[in-house]
Amino acid sequence: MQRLFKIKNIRGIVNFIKHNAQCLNSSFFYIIDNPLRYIFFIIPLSICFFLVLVSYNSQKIIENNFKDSRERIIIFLKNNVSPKDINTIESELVNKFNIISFKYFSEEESLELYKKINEKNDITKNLDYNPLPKTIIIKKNIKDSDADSLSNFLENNRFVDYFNSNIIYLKRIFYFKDILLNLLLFSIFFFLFILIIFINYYTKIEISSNKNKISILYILGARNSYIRREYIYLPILSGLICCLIGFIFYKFFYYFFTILLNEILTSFEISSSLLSISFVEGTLSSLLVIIIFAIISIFTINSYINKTLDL
Amino acid sequence: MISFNNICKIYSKNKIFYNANFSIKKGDFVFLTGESGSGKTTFMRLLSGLEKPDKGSIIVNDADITKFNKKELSDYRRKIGIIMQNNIFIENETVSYNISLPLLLEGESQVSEKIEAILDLVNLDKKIYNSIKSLAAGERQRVAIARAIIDSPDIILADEPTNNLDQKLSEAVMKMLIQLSKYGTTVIVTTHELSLAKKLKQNILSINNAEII
Repeated sequence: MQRLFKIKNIRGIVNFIKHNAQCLNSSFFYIIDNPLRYIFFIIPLSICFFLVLVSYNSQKIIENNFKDSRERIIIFLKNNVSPKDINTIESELVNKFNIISFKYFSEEESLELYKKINEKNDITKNLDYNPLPKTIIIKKNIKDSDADSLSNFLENNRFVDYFNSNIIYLKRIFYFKDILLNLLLFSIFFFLFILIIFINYYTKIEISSNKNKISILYILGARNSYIRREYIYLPILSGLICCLIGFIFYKFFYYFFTILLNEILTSFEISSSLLSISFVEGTLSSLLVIIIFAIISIFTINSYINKTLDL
Repeated sequence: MISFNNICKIYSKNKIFYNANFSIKKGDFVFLTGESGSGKTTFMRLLSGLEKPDKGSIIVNDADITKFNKKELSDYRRKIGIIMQNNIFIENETVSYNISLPLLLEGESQVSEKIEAILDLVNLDKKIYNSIKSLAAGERQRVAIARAIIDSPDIILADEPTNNLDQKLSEAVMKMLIQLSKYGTTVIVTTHELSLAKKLKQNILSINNAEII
């Protein structure tokens, strides 16, 4: 009896695999034979997937290049500032504001620093005097909300000649990052919206054109999962094609985008690393898309099958 | 054994069955007669698990099918052969494919041999690769019969199986079903042709005033 059960079980597994293979095969050739029928479904979803990849990747590049960014303020001091005054400025800055680092450079040290930074374009070598004043470089967290009061403090300080901060540049970058995040969220929601509409539409067409077959299979004792299997592979395969097309679009875009961006960054002498989406990220996102396709399809197919069978 | 115990089925105040009882033994052949709208089709739908009664139990081989879940109902329906009044087919497929569906669901091997044998039995061996669309009403009915009996079911439920058949073919189909019952298959046939049922000298049940007599 136990042996009979085992044989029946094995036969069930073989049938399950066989039926899945048949359904996959017929769905694949159905798409191949009717490409125009699915093009209106695949292209918008591929574009959405492409947008998701691009906005995610841009976010990733910004995150990677600016994750440890801190506001850097260069303060040029007046000529008559004494070491005692510098100590006063330091103690005031450290006590009043959230300063991460404070560095003082004398005129000579400032010149050294300038030469080190502007190795290729050192305009001071043509001068017979040191144009640089005493300098202080301070670093502070971007998120601290005392930027305005610091700016007021420096403007009204009698030892400060001029100061310059990179906060506006950083704020623009982070504003751009926020726009990309919104684009990413919009792309995801738009993707899901189109997905639900198209899966609903195509499932409705497929199921209503196979109404008789579904009813017969149900009467003959087919389980819901068996009936559903015939329709589930079509959206899953479409999802896979969407991911592939979206990924190819993205690769082309990334290739041309990095060439262009590298040119711009090199001309501004900005060093940055332009990361692309890794194979693991690509595979995981495709898997996620396919799982979403499958879940939405299962719900839609179930609801239409139940409607067809009037359950 | 099949038994209906105090079955009630009411469609918007229309009593189809009210405390209906009946039982038949394994291998019995039974005609179920009744006026049009008396509940013959509902009887078949209840017995095949396509509908549930409002009250009562339906016992088939010691199991109450009204308490079956979806999975158990599917398994149960695979063990019975159903011939519906308005048989439906996959119209753009062949006779062979339509008949093979119960075997495909069971994952049976030797499908083609069984199809050939069964088509020979219902006299449709020459139409094996014809499309269902191209068949006449009588031929379609025979395909439905072939589909119901191909997997050697324990029970055959035939709802007006001779509807589109001439007198000669009707008798031949009935004799075939009677023959199957002799091999242990329980056969329940609904018909409005009382004369044919009487001629074949089999058990006759009738539905009258929401009861099975």
